[in-house]
Amino acid sequence: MTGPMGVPRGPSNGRTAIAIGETTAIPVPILDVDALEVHFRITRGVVVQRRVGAVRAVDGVSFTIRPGEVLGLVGESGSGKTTTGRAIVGLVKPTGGTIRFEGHDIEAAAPAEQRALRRRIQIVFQDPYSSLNPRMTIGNIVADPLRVHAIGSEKTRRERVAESLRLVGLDPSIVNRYPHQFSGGQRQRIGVARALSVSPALVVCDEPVSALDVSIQAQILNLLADLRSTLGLSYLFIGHDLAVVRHIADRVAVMYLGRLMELADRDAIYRRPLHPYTRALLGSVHVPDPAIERRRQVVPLVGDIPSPSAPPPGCRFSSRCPLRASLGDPERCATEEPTLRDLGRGHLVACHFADPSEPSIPAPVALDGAEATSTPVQHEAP
Amino acid sequence: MSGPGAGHLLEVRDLRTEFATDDGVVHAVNGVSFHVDDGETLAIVGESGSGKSVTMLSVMRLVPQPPGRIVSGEVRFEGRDLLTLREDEMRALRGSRLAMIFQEPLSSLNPVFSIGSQLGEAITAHQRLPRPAVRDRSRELLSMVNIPGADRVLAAYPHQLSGGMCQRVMLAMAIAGNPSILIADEPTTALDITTQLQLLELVRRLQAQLRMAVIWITHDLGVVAGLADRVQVMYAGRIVETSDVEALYADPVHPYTLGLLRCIPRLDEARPERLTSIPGSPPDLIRPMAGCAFAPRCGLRLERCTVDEPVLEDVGEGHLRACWAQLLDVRVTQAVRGVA
Repeated sequence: MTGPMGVPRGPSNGRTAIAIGETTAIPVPILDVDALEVHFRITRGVVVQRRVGAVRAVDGVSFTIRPGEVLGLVGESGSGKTTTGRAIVGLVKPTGGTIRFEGHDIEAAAPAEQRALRRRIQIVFQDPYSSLNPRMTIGNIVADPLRVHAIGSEKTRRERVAESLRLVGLDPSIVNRYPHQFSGGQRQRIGVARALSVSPALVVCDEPVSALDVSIQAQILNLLADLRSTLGLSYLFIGHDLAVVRHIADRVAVMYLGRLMELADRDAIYRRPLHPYTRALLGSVHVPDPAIERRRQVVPLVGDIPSPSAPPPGCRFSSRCPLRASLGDPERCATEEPTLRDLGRGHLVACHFADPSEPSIPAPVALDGAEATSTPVQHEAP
Repeated sequence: MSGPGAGHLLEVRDLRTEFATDDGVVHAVNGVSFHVDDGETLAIVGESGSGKSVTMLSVMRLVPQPPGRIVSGEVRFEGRDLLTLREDEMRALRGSRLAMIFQEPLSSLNPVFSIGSQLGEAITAHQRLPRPAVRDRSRELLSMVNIPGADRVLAAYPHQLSGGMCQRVMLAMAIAGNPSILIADEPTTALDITTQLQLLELVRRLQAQLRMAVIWITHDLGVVAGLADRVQVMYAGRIVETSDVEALYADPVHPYTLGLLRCIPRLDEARPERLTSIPGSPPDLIRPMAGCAFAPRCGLRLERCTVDEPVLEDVGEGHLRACWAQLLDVRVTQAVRGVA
């Protein structure tokens, strides 16, 4: 078993080295999620509970995260992105599929091994106000995971807490104070320090900046980027703000109604989104430039996201899909659920009709390392 | 650019609003003056605690008193000072000439009444109509806000509708009295981005159709870029910069505005390695400090900034800012970023 501090990164780092210099090889993932399913039962009746249906919050989701990688998981409310993150850290029990951490199936592991695996996967929550217990001191909050995992003595825990606080840019002398004495940004730093106290390898960041003011968001995003490079962390970064996710993620997965719609490298997905849903999402992002905003011609998606307890048959996006409408409502979309297929270089898309040769860019996305184009908005003719 | 006294639709002068709390008096709005003209869209941009919502709640006289208190100021609307009106006079204006929609559509609607009865109430609050006419008007309003199947929606209860749908119902209630000003307090913040876009398009269309002025309160500089005619930026209960929308984005002249524009990741620009952040956090409004409230976080701070409070002054063509830093220094900071 690993020691409490300075935890070795585990065997995967050694295995990663195989891929170096061999661009086509895929490194061994730190996290391998396969056909993950989280269904919540809907019951009726108090004494005799009859099962009348299920909310299929996560319904067959597969992806991997490589060591040191940041995978962005984006989607609207009800897409299942948060439930996916919670299943990975063990806050909800999957009803199907497997979650492998460094090759070990977490659910199938013996209790002691399971706890050891879970220690290395931590989470940072969205709301820094409700995720810190107001009656606990900062020191106890940050030490909590150490206590749960019975790591170290009282004294070494104190040292570890001080080290965690320093890592997130806070003065260790705050340990005897309470959460209400801190601003939102400082609280989120405390939340990050708590996650770091047990030396995780993977941190699930569940919308960690969504509840923060814009002037504070950048501080936390920079902190997460710094911690990733100094500690060699991997993140599953869950978010709904596509510009924020583009900033931090290496690869991006797009979720809709419990399924993955598209998964690709960051640049590929932002420059050339292939799924009509991703294109609609990107077309809805606002940029702080009046000239671009005034020229915006994207037709907004009609309707709302359907209920995850009764997803549309066939492709789940078919009821709102502009591509399907433009193709004259092909029958196939309503009868056959598309699988994630590789349209080249690991660009996975779950759409029967996505066309990789399609040229247009749905949103004013600047190319990295290049001058922003002078005519950034290139919409399709309606 | 219309000067003072040109007969603005709404004119707010030196508004101050406070809240009494256990820890002391919170100075939420500290001397705010601005105006809105017929049919224009004014965006009030600021972070939480900047006083943007309290400013407009004060205009609507919806600040809960106590603990809130409008200390001083003048709110001129259609020739009258709203702050001196009796409560019944104010109630007659609210929902007819002045309407407001809020961030959380679900909590703004009453869960135990049907949409039809709440929309009907909004209609009959300001005009007497027989029942069938109320029904017709309800259907008309729902179709104006792009809600199909009016009868089904009128019979529904708020929890049966999606967030976007509830927000459109709120909008229908707001326009029921043909307001000349619609105040929108972050109405899209709780919505998903695809639904957000639908609502923005809808408000834009209704504004043109009904010739309303819109005051859009937001923290999101992206949302208002395509929507606003003018933008005013608030910080710690004060207006720090105001100008027409193009100039504000192209040539921000207050270090805080500049900081806000720089710290957000943008899809329309190449991805920087690091984001430029504004250090520190917003000030405590219980102990107002001398000088400029942004000074502790400002990279262009001068000695004077911690002593004298800057006042709004015109730096050209109605572009106002409250800052002591040299204009050139702010512009150089802006230009350096363009190169980097």
